[in-house]
Amino acid sequence: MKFKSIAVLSLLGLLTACGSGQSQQSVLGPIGQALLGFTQPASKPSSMADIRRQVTPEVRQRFQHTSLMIAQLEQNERASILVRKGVNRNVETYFTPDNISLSVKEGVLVGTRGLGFDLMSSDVAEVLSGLRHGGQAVRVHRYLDGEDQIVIKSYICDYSGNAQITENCYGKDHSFKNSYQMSGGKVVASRQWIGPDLGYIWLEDV
Amino acid sequence: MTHKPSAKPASRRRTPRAMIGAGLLLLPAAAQTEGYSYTTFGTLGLVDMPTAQSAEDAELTATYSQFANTARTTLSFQITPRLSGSFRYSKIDDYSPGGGALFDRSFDLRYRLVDETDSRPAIAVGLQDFIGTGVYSSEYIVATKSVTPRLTFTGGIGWGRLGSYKGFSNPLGAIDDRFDTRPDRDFGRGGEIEATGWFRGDAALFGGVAWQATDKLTLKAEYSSDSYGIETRYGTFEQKSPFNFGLDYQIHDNIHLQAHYLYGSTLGFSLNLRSNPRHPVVDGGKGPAPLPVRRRMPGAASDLGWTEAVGVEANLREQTGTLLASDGMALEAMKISANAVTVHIRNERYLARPEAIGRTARMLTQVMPGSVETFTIVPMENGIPLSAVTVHRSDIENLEHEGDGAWQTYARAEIEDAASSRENATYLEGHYPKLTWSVGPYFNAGYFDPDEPLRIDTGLRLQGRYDIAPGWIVSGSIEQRLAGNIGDADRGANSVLPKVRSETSIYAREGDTALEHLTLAHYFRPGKDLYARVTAGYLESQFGGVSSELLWKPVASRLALGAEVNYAVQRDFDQRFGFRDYEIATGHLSAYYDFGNGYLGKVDAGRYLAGDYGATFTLDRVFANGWSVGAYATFTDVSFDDFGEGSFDKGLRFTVPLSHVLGEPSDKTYKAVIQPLTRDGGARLKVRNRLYESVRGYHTPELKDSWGRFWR
Repeated sequence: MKFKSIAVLSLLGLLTACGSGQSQQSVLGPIGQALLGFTQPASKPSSMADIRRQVTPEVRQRFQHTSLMIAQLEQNERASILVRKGVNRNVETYFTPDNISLSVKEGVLVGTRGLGFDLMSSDVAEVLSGLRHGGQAVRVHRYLDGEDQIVIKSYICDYSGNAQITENCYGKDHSFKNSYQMSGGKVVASRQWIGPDLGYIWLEDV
Repeated sequence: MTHKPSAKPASRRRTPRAMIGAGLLLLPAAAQTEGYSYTTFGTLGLVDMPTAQSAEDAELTATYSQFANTARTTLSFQITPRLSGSFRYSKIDDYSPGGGALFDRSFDLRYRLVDETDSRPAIAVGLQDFIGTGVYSSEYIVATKSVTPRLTFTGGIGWGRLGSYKGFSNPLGAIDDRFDTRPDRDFGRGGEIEATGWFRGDAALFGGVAWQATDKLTLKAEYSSDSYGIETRYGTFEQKSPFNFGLDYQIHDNIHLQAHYLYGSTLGFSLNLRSNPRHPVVDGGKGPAPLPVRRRMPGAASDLGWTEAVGVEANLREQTGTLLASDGMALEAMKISANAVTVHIRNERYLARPEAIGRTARMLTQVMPGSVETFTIVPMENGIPLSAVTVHRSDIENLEHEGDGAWQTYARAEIEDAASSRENATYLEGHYPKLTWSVGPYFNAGYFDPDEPLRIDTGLRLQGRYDIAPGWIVSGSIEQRLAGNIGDADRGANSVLPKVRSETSIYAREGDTALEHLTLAHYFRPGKDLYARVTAGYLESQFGGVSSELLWKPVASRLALGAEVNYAVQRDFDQRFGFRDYEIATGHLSAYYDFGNGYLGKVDAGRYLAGDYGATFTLDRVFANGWSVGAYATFTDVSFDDFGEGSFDKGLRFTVPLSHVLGEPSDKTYKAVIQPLTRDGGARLKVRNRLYESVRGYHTPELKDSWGRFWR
């Protein structure tokens, strides 16, 4: 109908203008560009196992032995390699080649950026203790709503298992179940819940 | 009656002048199926009859409805959780003895007085078509009760048109005899509020039921108290029965299609496009992650060795500039000392201003030597500093992953006036002069011409901007029309006032290749809390001249005051370099006030383009994500008769951020004004880049409202 075509046209007007002022510059950092070599979208999306195989000693050399991680959203077919770009006390921030970042505090996800519906921050001090000693923990997540206001969600979690720890969390609107594979007292692989829109993400150290 | 969306507020926020019309209504909204649907009048209710329900707060819905000889296009907005407003453009064929069609604009308001509880229904009071010629004029009090979440019953009493079928003498007559008779509306030129007739004359009862059969399908039945008297008398439409039936089907998240069987005689359909400024496609957006904070090594803060080295400052400027540029921003100038740095940035990407500031602060942790503890970030637009936000580097380091980091950084940030911030700052080399340009399609729209309610012109536009020095800008745009029909409108300008806006169609017709604007502008800060602009040249497609503006806006003030003085000369229809012989001095004093909770008011008093004196009242609901929806009305010393149809100038205003639709960061917004009638009274100059909008975004309380994005 008429309305729709007009809407499409006006959007086209917004999107198709070109010129010197509208630099659509790439936001890839230098590390991202270096990485593009081997995460170029292939005919078939790479699985976590594919990427694990590709991380050869030469590749590690190329990143000067910076910590690497592999991650995959459960709702997405493509896994991605991530390179550590920031360390702030015990929080490490890893970047994908296309500039999505994940921040983990001793293996526990505390923030995402660039996925949309991101986890803005989370209080996990009690979670870290729960992973070590069991018991119960309160976990607080913060998200942005559609009006850019911070929305706070809190959950009560309990822990079971030793080498393979299961974290069961209950909140007012949602409940979720995270799992952590421990080795030498550290999280080496995990499946963690980001939020209601993004669901779970698999994380693995390499 | 053409309309061009108003000039964008901030030069860097490129605001394409495409048409808004239905465009914004196709924006995504969260699925809201809380058991309500819209009537053929585009208001919340049953088939034709209202209910006491309210839509989700801030829902903006466009409805097109057609049956028999009536077509209605309605825009409804849930202004507050209880108050809703609608604007409607209707066409009724055969609405006179001679068989001519009637084109009518009407406004409604509804207020939910009482919420529903277990034992009590929700109750609302409404005014339908309360401004204007009053074709649909009626008032009602209605109650709605949910028996189950899916089944609601409604009953009400209506006056005016809603009291026209099986009416009885007005129960309010018990209070005062005046209520017994409804005076004929003396609508004159239309557009006047006709409060004298409200709730008077016969009343009648109406009611109905809505059943949400499935998540997507709602069935409705009602008893209507509208007799459709005039339609039945003159036209093909016939009211045979008071019973109406309808079904509403959600064909997409935010699109509902309805079918109706009306008054025992005809079938009709309507289409609802629902959207909500509070629900962008992606909460928080999908833009790239910010650089992480680089925490200083212990002891690094006391190392001052770098201050002795040669060329460090230039190096730091270059590195900071590169990082900002890689994130869609730009460094204009920098001032650095052993423990403090001031950066002047230009943000052309993040409409959420705190996000630009937060990202800049993180970049500075990457670049600045350890002893630099204080970061002052000064956002610039059009070469003038808008505020100075000072944060402490240790706070940025400590709060990056703190749960409460957003609020704590806000509490610790100092936001101050930046009038003198550029003293001793060093500009980046090669920044001025700078030429930017773009080519793209444009769309202009004209509304509500009875011959063709929607007219469109389209073509190519070349825009250029030359920044000579900070605050000195040459800007121009040329439009080449390729197709369109705005110029075909031939309803002659019959105004008795100087024809300052009523010849728009002639401009469209004769300006195939048009110099849309060509100006030299100077922006400067005359002092603390003061902002100024002088623009000279071909200011807009119909006027040239000189426009000057002064704005007083303390950085933390809810109140701003402005003064604008213009000398304007009407341009030739071909929109090249010539002028016609109408010239005028026009100007306004303005007061802007932020009421909080997202409501922004404005009063402009002064002399308008046709030489009339008066004031414009504007109220906008502004959302932290960049949306705004508002309305304005202008009253001048031009009599309603001289003004002509509509009696006075009024309209609806919209700002839609592109990021709402894209889910990606963009500081582009799309602005439009819809005027039911464009006439010559109460007309203002359309000057580009008025000051308030660009200043407001970097001041509190606006910065505070979107500070949640500081760490985005």
